[in-house]
Amino acid sequence: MDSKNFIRCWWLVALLLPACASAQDNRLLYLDWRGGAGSALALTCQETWRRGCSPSTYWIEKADDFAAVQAQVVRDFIPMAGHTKPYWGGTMTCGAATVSVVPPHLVTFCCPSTPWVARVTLTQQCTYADQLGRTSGPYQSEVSLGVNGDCERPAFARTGGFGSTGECYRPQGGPCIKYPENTTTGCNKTTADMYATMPPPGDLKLIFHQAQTCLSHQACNARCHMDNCKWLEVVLPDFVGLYLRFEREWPQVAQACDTYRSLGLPLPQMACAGRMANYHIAADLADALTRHGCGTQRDWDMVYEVIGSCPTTGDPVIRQTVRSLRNEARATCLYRRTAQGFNPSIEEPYRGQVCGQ
Amino acid sequence: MRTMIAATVLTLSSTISCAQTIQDLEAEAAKLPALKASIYGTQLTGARELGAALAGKSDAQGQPIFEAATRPVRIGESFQMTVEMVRPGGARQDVTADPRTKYAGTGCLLTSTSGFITVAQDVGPCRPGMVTELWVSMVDQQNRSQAWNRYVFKIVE
Repeated sequence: MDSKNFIRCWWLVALLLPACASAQDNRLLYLDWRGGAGSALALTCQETWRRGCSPSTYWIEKADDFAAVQAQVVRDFIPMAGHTKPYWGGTMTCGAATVSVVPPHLVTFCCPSTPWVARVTLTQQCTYADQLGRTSGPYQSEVSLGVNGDCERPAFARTGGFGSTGECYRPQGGPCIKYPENTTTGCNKTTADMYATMPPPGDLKLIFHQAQTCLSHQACNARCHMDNCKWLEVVLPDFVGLYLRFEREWPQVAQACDTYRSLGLPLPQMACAGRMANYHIAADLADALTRHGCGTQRDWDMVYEVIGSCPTTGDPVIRQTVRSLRNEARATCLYRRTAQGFNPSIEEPYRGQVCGQ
Repeated sequence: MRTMIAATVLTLSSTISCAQTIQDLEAEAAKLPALKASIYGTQLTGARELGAALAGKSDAQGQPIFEAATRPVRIGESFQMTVEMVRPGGARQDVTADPRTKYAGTGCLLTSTSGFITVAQDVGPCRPGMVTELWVSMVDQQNRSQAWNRYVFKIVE
């Protein structure tokens, strides 16, 4: 997407957010987002109809992206379908709410510490009726919250000064923070999520899950030595996330694992792991690569090299099978991206050795 | 003999835990009767035999061995497997359609109880270039495997 289209798309966000949900400004990666109203704009419960709030200032917990903050604001504040509430001895009746957004934009001249700002506004048409039934004419009730994007992660820095892009990044040569020091962002979060969801002994998913956890951990640790660090940080959460969230055909794949019980193997998880790996590589990995780029040959080989330390790939037949499936997934990616006219190796925003945590 | 095998399997089943790996599994399988599979007279190389051939080899050295042991199949193709159980003493028995013989693929393969296999695109994803495995297991009356093996297939154009 070129810059003109990008700007057009962001302005469309204000009107039609879902249509542009896939657009991503690379400069917004690794920012920490907060939304709310400071003390100068203190919003009380009564004023905002916020649910379950304390009548004081409101700040949302830190989130990974602007969309998450926006969703939280909508959840926290006025009922979107409209409502009727007691108000100053009478009744306030408000219609359905609309959400408008000023998307994240860089304001370098005013706010050097927080250059990324955005705004979410919730608007309703309301009427007020007093105890005697007298009504006021409809008026517009509006709650507007500022949203800031800050660069706060350890070992990260933000480009600054006149003409700055405002990007939050890990300086080249800076520390590469690995799991478990970082459990909250990028592929480290994926690794943490895999460890946190380890199935119990006896579960048919166990061996696959153990293997994929090790693979995620090792591949993520290797990213800081890759040609394109960001590529791994994006691809890995994308394809492992499909398994973690059990999306697409994962329920059917897991269900198919039950058929392996009929084999009577002492370790039925092994056959199940084969089915899960087959699907995960051929579907999830191939598709994630196609979306973000197939990676350079060096990065691709580096992942294979580091996952060799994982116990499951110690078996030579499994190792050859995984290698063959991986290479087929990459070949599929190269074919698809070439046919679509994309750079086969990488999407431009993910190029470079400097990346997030 | 059958009683002895069953006892061995029982012992193995009770001692194998999830802490064990596929290598342990294959090592245990080596002590049991072997399953040998073929398609229309052509012997397939099972993972037990292939693992032994690949042991100690680098990935590059192992690749041609792996590929040679991988049976090419086409999407839409069907074939009849023949499975023999070879006991430690060398006695062979055709167990292809024995109800105790179980078949299961890890993708692309539809299996019947009589060993008739169909390469199906909808057991997917299934694309030319992919490899997939077929597990074959011979179970006892308690549904515990007496012998097992697995075979690698490659989907070709």
